[in-house]
Amino acid sequence: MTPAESLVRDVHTLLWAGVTPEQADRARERLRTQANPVPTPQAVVRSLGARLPVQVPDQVEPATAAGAEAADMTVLVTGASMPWRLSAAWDGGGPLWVRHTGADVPDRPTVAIVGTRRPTLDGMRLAGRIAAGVAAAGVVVVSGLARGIDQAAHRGALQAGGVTTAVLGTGHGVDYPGGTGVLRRQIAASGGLLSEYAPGRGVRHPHQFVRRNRIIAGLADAVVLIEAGERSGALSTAGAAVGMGREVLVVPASPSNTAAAGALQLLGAGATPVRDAQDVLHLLKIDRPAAAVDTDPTPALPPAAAELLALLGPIPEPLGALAAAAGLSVRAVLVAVSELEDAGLARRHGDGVVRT
Amino acid sequence: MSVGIARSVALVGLEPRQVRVEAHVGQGLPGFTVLGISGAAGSQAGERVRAALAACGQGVGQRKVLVNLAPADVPKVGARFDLAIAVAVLRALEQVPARDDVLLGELTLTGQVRGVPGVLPSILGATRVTVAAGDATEAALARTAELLAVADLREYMAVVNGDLAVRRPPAPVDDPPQPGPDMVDVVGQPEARRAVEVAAAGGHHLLLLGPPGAGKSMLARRVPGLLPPLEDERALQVASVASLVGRFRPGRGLDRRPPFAAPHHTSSAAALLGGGSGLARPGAVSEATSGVLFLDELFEWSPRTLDGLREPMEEGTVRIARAAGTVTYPAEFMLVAAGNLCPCGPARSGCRCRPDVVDRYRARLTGPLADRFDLAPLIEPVPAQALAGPGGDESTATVAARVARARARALTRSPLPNARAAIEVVRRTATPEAVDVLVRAVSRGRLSARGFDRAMRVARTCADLAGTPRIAAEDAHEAVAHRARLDRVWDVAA
Repeated sequence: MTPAESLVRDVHTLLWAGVTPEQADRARERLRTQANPVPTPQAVVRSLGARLPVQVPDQVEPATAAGAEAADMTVLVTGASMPWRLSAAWDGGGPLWVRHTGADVPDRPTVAIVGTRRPTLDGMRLAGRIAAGVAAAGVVVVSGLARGIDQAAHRGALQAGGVTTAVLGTGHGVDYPGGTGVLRRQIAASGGLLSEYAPGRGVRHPHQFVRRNRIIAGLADAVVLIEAGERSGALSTAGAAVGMGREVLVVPASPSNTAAAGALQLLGAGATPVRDAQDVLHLLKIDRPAAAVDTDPTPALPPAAAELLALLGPIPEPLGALAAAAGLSVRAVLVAVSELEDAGLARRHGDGVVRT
Repeated sequence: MSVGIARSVALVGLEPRQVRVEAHVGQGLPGFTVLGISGAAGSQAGERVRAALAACGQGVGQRKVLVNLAPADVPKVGARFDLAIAVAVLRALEQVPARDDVLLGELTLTGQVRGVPGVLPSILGATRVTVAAGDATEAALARTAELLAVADLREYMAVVNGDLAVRRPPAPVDDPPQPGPDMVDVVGQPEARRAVEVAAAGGHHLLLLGPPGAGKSMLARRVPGLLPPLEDERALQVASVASLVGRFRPGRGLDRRPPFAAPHHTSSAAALLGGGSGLARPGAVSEATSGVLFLDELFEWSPRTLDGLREPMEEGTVRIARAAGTVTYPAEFMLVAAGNLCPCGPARSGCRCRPDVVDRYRARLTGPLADRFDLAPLIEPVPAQALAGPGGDESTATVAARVARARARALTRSPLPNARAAIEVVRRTATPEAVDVLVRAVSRGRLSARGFDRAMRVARTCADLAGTPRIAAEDAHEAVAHRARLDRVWDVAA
């Protein structure tokens, strides 16, 4: 039996026996000795004994029934095959289910980009731009496939032709968050999808997603936070990153932006502020410049539209407030907003207007 | 003994159908039989009339009375033929002279004549009419040449026999109509005010979005006050529908205020569109004809019920088929709807709904439903200090004057408001720049293809409000901005 085969068998032993990752972690902690720092799966299973639903035979065939969705493309990694950053930060970590349909990715600097599931439009755009900038410079972008900032980061990296990896809070083959089938296929072909849960495991407990965050932090050299609310799960990623000695980078936001309140607190606690992909690359000591952002010369605007543009920022401004601030009639504001949208300089968003 | 003839009218929808009542009083097995009216209504009418005649000293005694209502295949509903049956019998008994008046009224057992619903639409176009005294002011609106209103059967006999002068119908109480709610009460909301003004000027459909308590219903209730008073024909149509559903206010003159109907969101399709057993009765869409139909909590309505609005909105009428017959009611309403932005209705504390729930909620506003509206202003939560201060904004009278001017300009092109005018008429007045703006809005996904024509109409109204003969680029921009929340607002992803 080759080392790889024995590895697959080991991990199957755990999963087939119904050991949850949480149980495995606790059992390893208990069984760890000076002589044997990483207990074998068999030892873990034996120690859990009667508490498990299945008695483990000596030989286990690699399971084919486990993966509901394309099990042949889902592999298990553990021990020495774990991403080195992760195993270095998180001893005995794993096992992980990996779905990777693309070519092998050589070892590269990696950045995690995380944030709130309810970002502002500005936050989404920032996430996309920073992800695209670092991905274009060859950095792998890791995130959690959640709505909002996470998905914007994945998409940004993919659009720049870069490599991105997603760590799931569920098992493979579960459509969560809903409607992300295309994105998941793209990521699987890019940097792969990772999960520590067996295929088919749905959302059973919110804790799954918090545990997922430590893997995101463990995979990355640095964690970039864009807009995290005061109780955002992204803050737990930052906490895990600090625990693993990773750099925590925060994109500063306006204090009026409640979606970013937690990120601002982190800045106060000593996180490093970054403005764009260039800043992130600089901190990672990567010299290749980020993709230049093409800046169009502003087209000629009617005076009312120009005046309104000066009032716009990343936070949605209601039309009524704009009319009052600019001293314009509502009709003039509506016309100006549509003109700005037409010129691609502003955008209606939810209950207001933002600058693009 | 001969046959007595009297005339009455049955209603099929709002359409009057002449009914000829023949009464034969002769020898035979005693009885009072009414033919030509289906179900128990016939025998009930017979018993009532028999008692009423006896109460007036004209009892038919031990004779055989046979009454026929012709034509038999016109559906006849209600007790409105009582008076005509009684008069036909009296004519057969030669107690009153023959006349060609149309008789409408229900009889009590003591011979009094009671009012019936739907008098006004029944007698439109008739020349000689006799109705109950209680229906006199309503009947007077029809301007018939000769109107006789009687309180009981004896009075009718006395008048037609020349023993009593014709009673003058009381003049309608011309109380100045209660002033409706005024726009002055609306604090702030500049965007919504402008949208309401544009909608009123062009008859466009309006969707008010915003958190609960910000004043959506308040604004909606002020829309009818901005519309011009109804012309004769329309006011009569509105009064006819009100009469049919029993909402006509007795003793009042012709109400020229545009109607306002606000059915609850649990209403059935029958309540909204019209329906019921036998011949369908008018629903809220018909009560709101020439006025405003207000649907609060739009997203709580069943999609099926709302789907039924599509044909009335396109055709201006609603046609309902039932076993007893098909009726057509007017339904030329301006739709004003209101909805929250998410199921929890975030007040000031921010939304607490899960993103996918919000997505699903807002998905209800896509496609066909969104295509039915032209403007969707956001109603902003009112800051507390603004509530305490004076209103200070424009009054209904000021805005209504501008609306009237814009409508007058639209009238020079087409007899219909911009929302209903032929699209060629509207399109002809657009400058190439304006068309360009709309085309660009479609190409960047801000307007749906179906929204294009609707935006063009709104732009026409904006130009009418500005007093310009052609649609300028500015007007097109404003129309696109008013539609912004309808066509591509809900996709948060950039």
